[in-house]
Amino acid sequence: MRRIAMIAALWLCPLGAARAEPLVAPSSERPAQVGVEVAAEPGLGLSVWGLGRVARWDRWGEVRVGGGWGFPVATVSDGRTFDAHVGASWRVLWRRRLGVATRLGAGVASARNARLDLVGLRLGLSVAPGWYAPHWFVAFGLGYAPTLSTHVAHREASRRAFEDRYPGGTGGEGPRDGWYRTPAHRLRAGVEAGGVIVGRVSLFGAAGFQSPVGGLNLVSLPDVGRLPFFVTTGIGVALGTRATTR
Amino acid sequence: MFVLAATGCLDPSAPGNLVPATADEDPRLPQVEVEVAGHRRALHVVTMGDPSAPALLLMHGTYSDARALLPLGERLSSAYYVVAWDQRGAGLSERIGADEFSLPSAVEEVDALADALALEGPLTLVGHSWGGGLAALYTARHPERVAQVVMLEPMPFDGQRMDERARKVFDFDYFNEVWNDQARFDILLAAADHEALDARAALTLDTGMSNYFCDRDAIPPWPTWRVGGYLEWARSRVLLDGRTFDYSFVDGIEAFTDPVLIVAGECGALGADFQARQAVAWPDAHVVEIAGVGHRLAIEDTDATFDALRGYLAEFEP
Repeated sequence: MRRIAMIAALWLCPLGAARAEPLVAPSSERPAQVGVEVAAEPGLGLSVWGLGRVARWDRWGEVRVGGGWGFPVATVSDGRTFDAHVGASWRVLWRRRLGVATRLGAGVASARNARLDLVGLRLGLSVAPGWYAPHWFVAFGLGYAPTLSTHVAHREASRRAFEDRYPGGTGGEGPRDGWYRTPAHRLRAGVEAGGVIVGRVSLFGAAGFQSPVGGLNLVSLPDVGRLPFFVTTGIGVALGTRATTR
Repeated sequence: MFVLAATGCLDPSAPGNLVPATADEDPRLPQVEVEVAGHRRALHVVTMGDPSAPALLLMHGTYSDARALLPLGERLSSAYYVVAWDQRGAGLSERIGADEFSLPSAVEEVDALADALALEGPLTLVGHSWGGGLAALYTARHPERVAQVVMLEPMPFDGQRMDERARKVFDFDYFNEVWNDQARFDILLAAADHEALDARAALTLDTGMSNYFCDRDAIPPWPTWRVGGYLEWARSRVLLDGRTFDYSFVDGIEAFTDPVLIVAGECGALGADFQARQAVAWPDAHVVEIAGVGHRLAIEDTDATFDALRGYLAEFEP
């Protein structure tokens, strides 16, 4: 049973989390929302997020800004592996319901293990044309999230690999800590939807495909494989008073 | 900060940044050049002992290089001319392309190394894990060139045995932190070049994804200069045919009728119980168990491992 659960998790859980841009609120009637999200990556991710409206126009839609913080479930114990992002979402509607949401964000993703401390700076850009009713939406989402650079700090286990490689003692250079150029990026396309289920509470979900990352597209060695899907789901609670006009 | 990070960055593929430079990149490393599978490659070689003594080759395993076997090699060098080398694509030896790795080329590499070092007389082979399999493969192909064989927890000698063992060996846990750490490399340092892949592959050494240990919460160290990530990927594709393993190290091994020694730990999926079952592939194999150790026996208890070898190797006989 445990094996079946692991295989199921692996197939359902490619890189989806580490969100680099804010969500779209399903309801435009309240100025702010907070929530939690479960995002399925090769590591299951949990995140908390908030979203607040900063501008609203009859003709040009609304702009919200938000941010979130999350972590992979399996690495919560080390306290150094996390994702954080801030960003803005601009949603414009035509004919009151047909519209497009454009989201731009920046984030930090980190990982710590026995050999390396990694901190990556990421950008996220996505567009989601769709149907945005007052209390629910369904949209096609297309997103791109490159990692601009990653800071690598070698820990003791990694440094030891550079020692005693020459006859008669240590010497030579390396390893080098610093900001590294990285081709890491993620391109994904899928369907996302959300809606108010009761009172102030909303549900969100997204699923789709995402691109290979590059290189050999290996998740791990030994290679246990990966399917290019992502799945996320979340719940939000609206804050503030209901708007009197749309 | 984003602009600074994006413009003033280190190159992950530059030698010595993420992982140590290899012999072709660093001429200060002790090395020999060999031609194998149609390519000339630099092998990082460490020799110990009197060159006029009988030659003993130390063969390392997967996700490894010769470094972890050096303490054992130092002890063996009192009676043998010990040659420890990083196999092509591993450790400080030059990287190779995927088409350069095959079982015949692994045998060819041993011959090329022996020729490059002008090793005379039959060879004594001491191999760990995959290196034990390589020792068996070399012996099956060239029984006349082998004097003695010691295998330290050799991997299964053929694909059928590997398929039977795989579920015991690979205990993949979705919540294994190291597996998750490797997965996060995709958003931080994509394995688009060999060096980043090597750095990621090194995390495997810290994982309990393989059932090799007495205590998986206290995994013993396994000192390594560089794990050859691309080599490991290429090797897995040679040994696997789809989802099943398809290889044999022991076809023709019946031609080698001298005694051979298999040393195994008490713990783990490739321990003494399993080795006793697969020892029947050889005409005359003896299994010695070392208590309280797992697959990393050469580091976990170097003295006990050396004692086991000393009781078998001819040059140590009283």
